[in-house]
Amino acid sequence: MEKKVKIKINGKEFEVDSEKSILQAARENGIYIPAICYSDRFGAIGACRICAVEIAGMKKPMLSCAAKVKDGMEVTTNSPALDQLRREIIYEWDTFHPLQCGVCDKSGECELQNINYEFNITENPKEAQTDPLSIPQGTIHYEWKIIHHDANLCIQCRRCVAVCDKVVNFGILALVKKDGDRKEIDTKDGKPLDCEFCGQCVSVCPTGAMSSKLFKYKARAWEMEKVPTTCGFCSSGCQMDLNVKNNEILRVTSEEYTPNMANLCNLGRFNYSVSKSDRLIKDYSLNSKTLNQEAMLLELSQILKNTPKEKIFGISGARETHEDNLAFKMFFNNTLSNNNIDSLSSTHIGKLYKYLPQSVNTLYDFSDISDANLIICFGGDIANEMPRIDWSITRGAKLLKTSKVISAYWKDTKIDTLGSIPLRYEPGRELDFLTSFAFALKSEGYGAGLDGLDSLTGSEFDVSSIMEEVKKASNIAFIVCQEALERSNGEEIAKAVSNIALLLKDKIKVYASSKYNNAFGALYNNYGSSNEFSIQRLLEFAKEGKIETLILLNADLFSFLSDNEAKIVRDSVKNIVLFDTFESKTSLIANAIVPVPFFTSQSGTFINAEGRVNKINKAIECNVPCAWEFLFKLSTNLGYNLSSAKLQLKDKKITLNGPADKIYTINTNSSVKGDGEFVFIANYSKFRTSVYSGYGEGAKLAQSQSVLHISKEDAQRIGLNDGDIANIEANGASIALPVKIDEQMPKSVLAAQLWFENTNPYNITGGFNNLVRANLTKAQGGLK
Amino acid sequence: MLFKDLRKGLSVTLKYLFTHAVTCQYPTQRLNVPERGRWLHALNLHEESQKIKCIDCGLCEEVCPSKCIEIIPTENEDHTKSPAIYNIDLGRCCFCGLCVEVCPELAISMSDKYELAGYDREKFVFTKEDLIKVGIEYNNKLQKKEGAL
Ligand code: SF4
Ligand code: SF4
Ligand code: SF4
Ligand code: SF4
Ligand code: SF4
Ligand code: FES
Repeated sequence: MEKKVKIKINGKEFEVDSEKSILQAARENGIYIPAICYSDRFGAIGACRICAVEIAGMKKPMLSCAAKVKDGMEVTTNSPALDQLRREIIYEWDTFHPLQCGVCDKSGECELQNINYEFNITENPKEAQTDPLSIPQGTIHYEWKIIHHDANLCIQCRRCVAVCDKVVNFGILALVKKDGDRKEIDTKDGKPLDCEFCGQCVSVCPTGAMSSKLFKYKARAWEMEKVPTTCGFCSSGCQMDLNVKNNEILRVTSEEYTPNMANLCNLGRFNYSVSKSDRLIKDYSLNSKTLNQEAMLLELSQILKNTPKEKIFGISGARETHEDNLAFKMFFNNTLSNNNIDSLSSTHIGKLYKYLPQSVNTLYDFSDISDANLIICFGGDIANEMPRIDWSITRGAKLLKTSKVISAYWKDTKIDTLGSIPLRYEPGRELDFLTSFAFALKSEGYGAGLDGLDSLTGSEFDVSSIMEEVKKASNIAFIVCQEALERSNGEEIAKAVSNIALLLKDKIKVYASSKYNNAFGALYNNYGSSNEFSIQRLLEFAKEGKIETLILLNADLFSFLSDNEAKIVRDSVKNIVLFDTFESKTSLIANAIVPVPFFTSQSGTFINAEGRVNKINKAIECNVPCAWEFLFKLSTNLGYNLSSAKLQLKDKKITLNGPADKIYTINTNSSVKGDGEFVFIANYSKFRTSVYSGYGEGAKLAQSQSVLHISKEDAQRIGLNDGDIANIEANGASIALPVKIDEQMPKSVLAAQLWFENTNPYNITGGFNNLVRANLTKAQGGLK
Repeated sequence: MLFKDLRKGLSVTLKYLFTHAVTCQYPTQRLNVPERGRWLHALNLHEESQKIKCIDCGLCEEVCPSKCIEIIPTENEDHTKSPAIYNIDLGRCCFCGLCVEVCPELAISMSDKYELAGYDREKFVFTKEDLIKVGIEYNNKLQKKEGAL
């Protein structure tokens, strides 16, 4: 329980939480104390000293951001002495600070400007005493990618260092010694910045010292309109503001009061130029002929009328708005009166929520992760899948220190730097960990009285190292990564996770990760509920000639199937109708193409992994109607009036339906495809959530192509160096990828990232699978 | 009665017809306008480098009450900033001179050119190039005048 204490600030008494700092207590009660380096995002740094206050009984002023409140404390936030102290600090910052507000991108929202203004500083006695020639020239890092650092503008508040370390958990920045006793912000190793390129450092910098190269000189801070919206790149649902001028997004910002606390990843913050990509689909077209909307509606109506209703199928990409997603479902269920429809959610989270019992399938806020005593992250590299969950874990383990972390995966990842208990299984052996864990829980007496407990059996896998923590914890966050669920035995994995959830029923909160921003919305709309058709059976249905017309809503066939499989679908289906925003390999082979606006050009909602119904707002005009509008018109043409349908959700948060409590029997005999020497895994990059996410500058600059991660040992044995091209061959197919030696890779394991244009890893794993045994050779003659 | 008034009026007219003119004989004659008058804008160049002084700080754009200034910035090779496009729509400008007053770089000033009528709205939009030309002409004129003194 939180304890309350009484303190006096400037003579007024307040009752505040005893855990709070003086600064927090003052802010809560509307009392202003200047503070530059403090932020709720990473806590106190104690670098700027401007937040100093006087406390009765103390000789020296204390830093209000760091000092906690105590009962009976008497605080004075302003006095002539404090004013003088603060002025001295500002003088120091100002001394030969380049007078370049006129061109500095920070101008207008610069905290150094603000504080000078606030203290009405018009002259600087310090500067008068300093020899201008003694002022060293700070480094300007023109050579860094995406981020621009000008040490001359830096006031050394170390906010960037703190955010990179305590929020992003990347920790590449430091205040390092340069010649003399001068210090500058730089990378720890002095090499050009090579990091997550999330721009958190840019977002916290009080001055123009850390800035975005993509925004450099684009506009002044006051010229842009901020349109609040939800990021459309993953199911974290980060809240952000599109900064718009002249119908163009010039940058993306976020505010500290958002649930994501102003944190955004590379895609959210820097990838906005996707919205003006030259690969946007602008026209309606039928067999490469451009049509206007009316003609397209007529042609499509004709196609659909000519197809027997039971031979029309639909796939949703789970990336469109909730409204489009629901309209698409209704179009099938009502207009076409069939349920031949599924979404890409079914490749991962759909499996989990099919089995997860109702009593444990609640969708929880990410902030609860930071408050959990124990966080178990299973089955993937969460930082690459959903950065916001990664920040929540980091916040709990590193900043608040409330949480312990267990990472169950085949590789050491970033969260293992949080002092986690590592559980390493071989890739493909996820079930070993899950069943052993369930068995150990049962043996400890968890789930007593549940039916079917007897069917739980363990495996060789040793989970004893974590049982102590599990028993101690009263509040466990269990995170299931997309990589595990996308395995070919993902359904069994889902069942095994469900068992664990049920055994730990009262103290577990299950989270699932998805790179598809509206994947949870598709589940909510009951995609994947057909008993006959599912996305996994797309190929089979196509081959059997059951599909005559296939309608794809933001679903790029080549992003979840191998090229070959996609071709088979193409050849077996008479009409492929694609509703999409961007050109893709699918748009090249579709018969009919209907453009739909990007999320920056429409209003609606996305449902994120917390189950929150998040609003998106139109920021730029694009003259393309939403998919639901088009579908409604199409429906009318087909003789069914959908226009009275209610698409908008009133609720702020959704719940999902799940089965009754049940312990599942797990089939552990999964066979891995292929017979090569290596295990190859297709997983994710934090810089892509789809192929089209690579059409933006931020993502492209951060990572331009898919690379093959390989252990040093294996690379040496085969004679591969960084950048060499390797051929990976399995199932009679092969892909070529540049090599990246990765010290964290286990022996005999290879991994490459999905959704890059240089290769399609599904070509060797096959669709609906992400793991295969493969052979590796060095490509002859370098680049192919 | 009637003729008496007419005669009086005509005599005044005739008197002025033969005395010399008191108004300026525009357009054959043009008045020198006061130096601090607010007429057509000029964009100034650095004397030595002949580079534009404007750094696109955006202040004139912001302060302009009729919102007739439009600047699109660009980054130069030496990482400095200058306007790629600088337009003033004189069809909207109210010649308040606030842009001149606010400019921290003395990049924009006002010349003595006041003949701004036109047949076409589009022609009222003066571009960076137009305004630089005005600046060069006006500054030359000022220099000549200074030299003459
Ligand atoms: S950092 Fe702030 S004070 Fe410094 S030049 Fe930029 S806007 Fe001006
Ligand atoms: S961009 Fe992100 S990872 Fe890179 S230095 Fe900044 S905060 Fe750290
Ligand atoms: S770069 Fe910015 S955030 Fe980092 S220390 Fe300097 S002023 Fe502070
Ligand atoms: S991609 Fe995901 S984590 Fe990144 S900003 Fe967007 S919603 Fe947030
Ligand atoms: S105020 Fe001066 S320097 Fe600033 S944009 Fe206008 S003309 Fe350029
Ligand atoms: S805010 Fe307290 S030291 Fe900077």
